[in-house]
Amino acid sequence: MRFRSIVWALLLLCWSLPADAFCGFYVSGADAELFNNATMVVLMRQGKRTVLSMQNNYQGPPEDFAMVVPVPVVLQQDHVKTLPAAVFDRVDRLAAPRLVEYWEQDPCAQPMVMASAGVPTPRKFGAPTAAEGASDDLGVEIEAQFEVGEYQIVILSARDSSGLDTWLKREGYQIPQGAEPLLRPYVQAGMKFFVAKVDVKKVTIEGGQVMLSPLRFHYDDDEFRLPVRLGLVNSAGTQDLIVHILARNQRYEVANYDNVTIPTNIDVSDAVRQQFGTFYAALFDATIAKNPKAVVTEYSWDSSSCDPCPVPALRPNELATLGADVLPPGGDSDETGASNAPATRRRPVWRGGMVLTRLHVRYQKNGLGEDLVFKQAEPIGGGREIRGGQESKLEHGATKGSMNNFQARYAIRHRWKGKVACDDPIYGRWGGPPEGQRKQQTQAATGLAFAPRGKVKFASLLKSSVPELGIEVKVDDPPVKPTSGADPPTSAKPGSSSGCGCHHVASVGSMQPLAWLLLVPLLRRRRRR
Amino acid sequence: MVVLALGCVPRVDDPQPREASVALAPTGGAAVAPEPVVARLPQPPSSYRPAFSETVGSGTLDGAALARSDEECALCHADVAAQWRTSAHAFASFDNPIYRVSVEAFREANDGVTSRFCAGCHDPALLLDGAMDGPVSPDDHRAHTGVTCLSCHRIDRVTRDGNGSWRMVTDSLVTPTLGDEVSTRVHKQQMNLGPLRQAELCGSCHRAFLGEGSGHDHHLVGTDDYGAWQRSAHAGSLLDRVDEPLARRGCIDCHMPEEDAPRGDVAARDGRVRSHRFIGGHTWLASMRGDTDQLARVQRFLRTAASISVSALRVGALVRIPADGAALAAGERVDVEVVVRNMGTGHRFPGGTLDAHDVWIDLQVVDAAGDVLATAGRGHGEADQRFIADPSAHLFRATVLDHTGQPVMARRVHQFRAQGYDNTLAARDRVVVPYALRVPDEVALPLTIRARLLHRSREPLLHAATCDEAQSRRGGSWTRARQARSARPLDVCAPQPVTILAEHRVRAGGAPLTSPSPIDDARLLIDHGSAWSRALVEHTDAARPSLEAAIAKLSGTQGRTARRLEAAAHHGLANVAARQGRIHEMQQRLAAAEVLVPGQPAYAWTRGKGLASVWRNADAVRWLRVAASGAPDDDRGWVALAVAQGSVARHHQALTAAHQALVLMPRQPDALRVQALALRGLRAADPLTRQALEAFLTHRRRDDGPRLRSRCSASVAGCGRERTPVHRHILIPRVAR
Repeated sequence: MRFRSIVWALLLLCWSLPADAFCGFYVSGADAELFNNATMVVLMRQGKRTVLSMQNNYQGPPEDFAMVVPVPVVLQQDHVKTLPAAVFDRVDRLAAPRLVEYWEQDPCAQPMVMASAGVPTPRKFGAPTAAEGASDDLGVEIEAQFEVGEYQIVILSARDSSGLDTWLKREGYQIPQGAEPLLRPYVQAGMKFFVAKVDVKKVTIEGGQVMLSPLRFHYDDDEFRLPVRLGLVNSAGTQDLIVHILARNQRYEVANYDNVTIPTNIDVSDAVRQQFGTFYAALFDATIAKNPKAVVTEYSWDSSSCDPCPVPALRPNELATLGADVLPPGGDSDETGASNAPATRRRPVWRGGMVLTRLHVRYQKNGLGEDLVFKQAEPIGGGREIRGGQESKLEHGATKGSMNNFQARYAIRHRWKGKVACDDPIYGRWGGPPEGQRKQQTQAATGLAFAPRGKVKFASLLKSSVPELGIEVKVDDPPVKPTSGADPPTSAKPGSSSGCGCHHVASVGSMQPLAWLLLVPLLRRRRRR
Repeated sequence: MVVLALGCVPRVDDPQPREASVALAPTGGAAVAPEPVVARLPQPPSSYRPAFSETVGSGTLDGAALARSDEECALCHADVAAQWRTSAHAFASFDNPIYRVSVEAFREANDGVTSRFCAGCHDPALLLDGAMDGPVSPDDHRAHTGVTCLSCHRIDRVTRDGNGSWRMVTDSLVTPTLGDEVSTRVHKQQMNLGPLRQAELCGSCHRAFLGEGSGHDHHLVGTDDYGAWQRSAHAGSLLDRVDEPLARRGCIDCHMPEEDAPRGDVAARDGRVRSHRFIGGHTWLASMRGDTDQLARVQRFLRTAASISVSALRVGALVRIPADGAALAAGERVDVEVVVRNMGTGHRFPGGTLDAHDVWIDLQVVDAAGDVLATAGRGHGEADQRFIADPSAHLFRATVLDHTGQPVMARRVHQFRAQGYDNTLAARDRVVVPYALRVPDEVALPLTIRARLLHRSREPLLHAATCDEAQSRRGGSWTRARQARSARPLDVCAPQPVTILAEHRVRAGGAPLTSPSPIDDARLLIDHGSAWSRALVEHTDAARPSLEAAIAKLSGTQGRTARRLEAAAHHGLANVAARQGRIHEMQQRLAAAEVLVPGQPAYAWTRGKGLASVWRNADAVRWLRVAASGAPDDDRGWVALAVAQGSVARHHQALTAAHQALVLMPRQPDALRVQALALRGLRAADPLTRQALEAFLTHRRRDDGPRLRSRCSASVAGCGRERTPVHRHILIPRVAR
C-alpha cells in the first residue's frame, strides 16, 4: 500500500546515546498531523533491569498507523506486552494528588477512635490490604495479566534495525524529512527497533484523540534514564509527562534537573470539589513557575498501602503485570545467592515493599533540553494528617524520614455544626461525615495533562497558606492545643458557617508513641475508603 | 570510484596481510586524512583456517624443526633456553594438562581440523605439520614443546586479528659459527624479524575471538590482553583519568625484564639478557612442576599487580572515610567498603583467560579481644578442586554463558555463547566492594578490619577437571610420555599456591592504625569516589562525598602531585556529572581540572561522551576528535567519534574514524556498523555496502546475549548480583569462641 504522505509524532520515551535509548514515533499514511502530548510511564527498576511501560495518547486521522520504538537490544516477541489500561489507571489514581473531605467530629463524643490518619505500616508483598478484599488473600496465584489489545508487534532484526528507513518504506511507511536527523543517532549507535502496528478499528477515537493501550518491555542497562528531547519535536506545544517508578524500598528523583515536591497538606474551599483537577493544575503551574524546569515529586509511598486511598493499593498481580514478574531475584542486593555457582536454583519468592514514586514534568516544546536521568533518593514524608508541636500544627511540606510517606493531599474541612452539649468539648477531631450524610470518596486528580488552565483564581480557593509559593492565607482562628477539656477558641464557635479556621484537637502526631502505635490499625481501617 | 578495500588501499598503518611486511605502526597523529570510500573488511583466515596463521618460504622449517628449536638454540643461548623452559610458553601445548582439558573437550565437540583454531597459538609445531587434524599422540614430540624459539623469532608479519595472526618464514636457516661475522649477522637478521619487539607480535595470540570458524554460531570476543593494553595509560592512552605520570611500557617491559645470564648466553649484554621466563600469573604451572624459583618470581611479579584498601564505612547515606579511625558503635549496621585498584597490570587484572582466573577478596573483622566476628571470602579460599558457593566472596573474573544462560566452567570453550559479566579491572581502574556488617550489640571495640587480595592461577573447577584428566587413562599416557622425555613429573592435583597480592588493615571504633599524609588521604578518597562512579547510574551520587572531600583536603596544598590529584578529583566529579546528564556541572568541573593540570585527553573524552549522551553530537564531535587524536591507539576514541560523526550525517568523517578504529580492532562491531551506514550514506556501490553490512552483522554482539544473561540472573544464584557493577556482599558472622 502506498501512503500519500507520512505524518508523525514522537513519543516521549527515549534513551540517550551512546547509552541505550528509547523513544518512539508514529508513522502512517494519513495526510494529517499526528500528535502525542500526554505520556504516562511506569518504570520498574531493580539492579540493571528496567521494565518500561508507557501509555501515550494519539491525535490524528482514524487510519491504521504504527508506533516505532527503539530499544537497546533485539527483543524477543514475548518481551513486548500490551497491558490492560486499567492497571495504568490504577497506578495513576493511586499516586495522583488527592482531595479529601473531613468533618469535625462531635466535640462531645467519647473519643473512641482517632479520626485523623497516621503513618501506615507498609506491608509485606503479598499480604492483602484491607481495601483489597478477600480475593487477594495469600494463596492466590500471582500472575501478570496481559492483553492483546490493538497492537500487532513486529520485532525488527538487527539487519532491519540498521536499515530502519528501508524497512519502513518496504512496509509502506516513510520517515518524514524532519524526523531523520533525530532518528539517525539511534541507528548509528546500534539501537534496535520494534514496531507496534495499531489497528485503528480496535481503538476508540473521541474528538480525534485516543489513549492507546499501555505497552511494556524490559531490558538490562547500567543507565536509568528517560530521554525526553526527541518527544519535543512532535509535541503539539505543551508536553505533559508523568513518570511512575516502582522500586524495592527506594524512592527516585531526577539527577539532572531540579527536584521539587509539590506543596501539600493545603486546606481548600468547597469549590475545589467540583474542579479539583483545575485547582491542582493551577497549583502545579504555580510551582513550576516558581521552580522553572523542575521535576515535581507528587507521590512517594509504599505501593502496598495508601492513606487516604483514592483506589485500593496495588495488588501483587498488578505489580507482576507492571514488571515484577521479570525482575531478577535480588538484583544488586542479592546477597544470599552464591556467586558463579553453576548449579541452578529456584526463583525465590519476590518480597518487599515497592515504593511508588510519581514524578510530573510539564514543559513547552524545546523547553526541556536534556533527558531525565534518575537517581536514588532518601525517603520523604509529607501530606499526612500528622500534627505536632505545641499548637498541633499539621505537618508541612516534605521532610526526610525513614520511610516513604509523601503524597499530594488537599482537604476540604467541615466544621462541626451541631450542638455542643458537654462541659469539656474536644474540638479538632476530623473524620467522616455526620450520620446520614453521604460519605465523600477521596478524589484523585487525573487527566491532568488536559486539565483546563487559567480557569480558576488559585489563591481564592486556598484555606491555608502555601509558603513554598509565597502565598499567605490568613487563618482566623488558629488550631488550639489538642487537649481534652481545653476551652474552645472564641472564634471557633461550633456551628460556624465558615470553612476556615479549623480547630484541631488530639491527633496522632501529638500522642504518646505507644498510644499512637496501638491506634494505627484502627486508623487505617477507619480511613480507608 | 568506489572500490572494495580488500587489499586495494595500501596504508602505512594498514595491516594488509599480503602487502605490508611489519605494517603495524601506531595510527598516530592528530590529522587524519579523509578516507577513500572503501570498506575495511575483516580478513578471513587462509592457510591454516580457522587459525589466522600463515607460512611463507621454502617449507624447510616444518613443525618437527620448530619443536626441536629450543634444543638447538640452547647450544648458544643457554640462559634464554633455560628461562624459556620454565615459562608458560614452553607448556602451551598438550603436555600442559590445563590446556589439554580444554582442547580435548573442544576437539571432541568439534573435530581436529576445527581445533587448528587453538593450535595457531598453543601448538604451532603440530599446526605446521597438519598434525592437529587427526589424533594427537602423547608420544608426539611436537605436542610437548609449545611456543618455541622459532615460533616467535621466525615471524615476519603479524596482523591485529588475533587467533594466531602471524606469518612464519619457513626458509632454511643459516647456522651461525662462533667468530664468523657473516653467519652471525645473517643469523641475527633471520632471528630478528620486524615484529619481534612489537606488542603486536604478542597480540597475534593474546587476542582471540570465537566464531563460525571455531564451531560457534556467532562471533564472541575472547582473550584480548593486547586490546586492553592499547586502551591503557601504559600504552599512552590517557582517556580514562588524570593519572600519575606513567612511563609507556609494552609487553616486553613487564614480561621480559632483563635478567642475569650466568650460563654464558652469547646474546647477553653486560651479562644480562631479556628474560624468556615470560613471567605472568601462572603460579600453578610453576608449582605443579615443582619449580620453586619460578614460583617465587611469579609471586613477586604478581604483588605489583594490584592494591587493596579498606576505604570507608557507610551507614545509610553517610560515609565515614577513611575507615581507619572511623567511628563505629555497637549494634550499627554498616557497609565496609573495600577498594581494589589495578595498579601495575598493563592490561585487565587479572588478565589472560578472564573466565579461568581465581582472584578474590578475603576480609576479616576482629574485635578488640582478638575474636573473629565476621569473614568474607573464606569459604572460597577453602575451595580447592571443588566448588564452594561462597556468596561472601568477591571474585575478579569474567563468566561466559552457554546457550541456556548457565555459566561455563573449566574452560569448556566449545560451550561459550555470551559473556555473562566481567568483574576484572582495566588498567589503573578501581572497583569498590561493599560488605554488609552488623556490629554485634555487645562487642569489644575497636574492630580491626583486614582485607587481603588473594590469587590462585585457575578457578577451582578447572583445577578439579585438570586433576581428573591427569588421573584418567589418557592423562596417564601423557604423564608417561613426559617421564619418557626425562622431564620432571607434574603434580597436577596438589593444591594451587595462594598468593597474597595485597593486604590492608584498619581500625574502626578507635584510634587509627596509621597516620597517612594529606596526599595519601586524598589518594584514598579519589580511589573510593572514582570507584563509585562506575556504579549503576542511580548510585553514582555515592562518588561525590569522597571526591569533594579530596578537593577540600587538597585545597591550599602546594606541589605538582597535589594539583594532579585535585584535577583527578574534579575529573572524577565531571564523570559523575556526565553520567547523570548534568552537562553544566560537567563543564564546570572540567574547567576547574583544566586550570590545575591542563591538556589532559581525559577532559576531551569526558566532554565528548557527556555531550553525546545528551544528543549534542555536533558539539561532541569536536571533543571526541581531540580525544581520539590524543590517544590514537585506543579504539574507543575513534569508535565514539565515528558514531558522533555519523549521527550528524558527516558520513565521510564517520567512515574515516571508523576505519581508524578498524585498523586497531578489525572486528570492532560498532566501527563496522558505522562503516556500513556511512557507505550507505555516501551512496557507495551496492556490493561494497552489502559486504560492509554483512561484516557488521557477522561480528555484532549476539542478539540473544541479553536473554542469556537474563536467564543467568533468574536461575543462577549470585549471577544477578555479579552482573551489577558495584554490588554488595555480606560478611558472614563467626560464632564466638
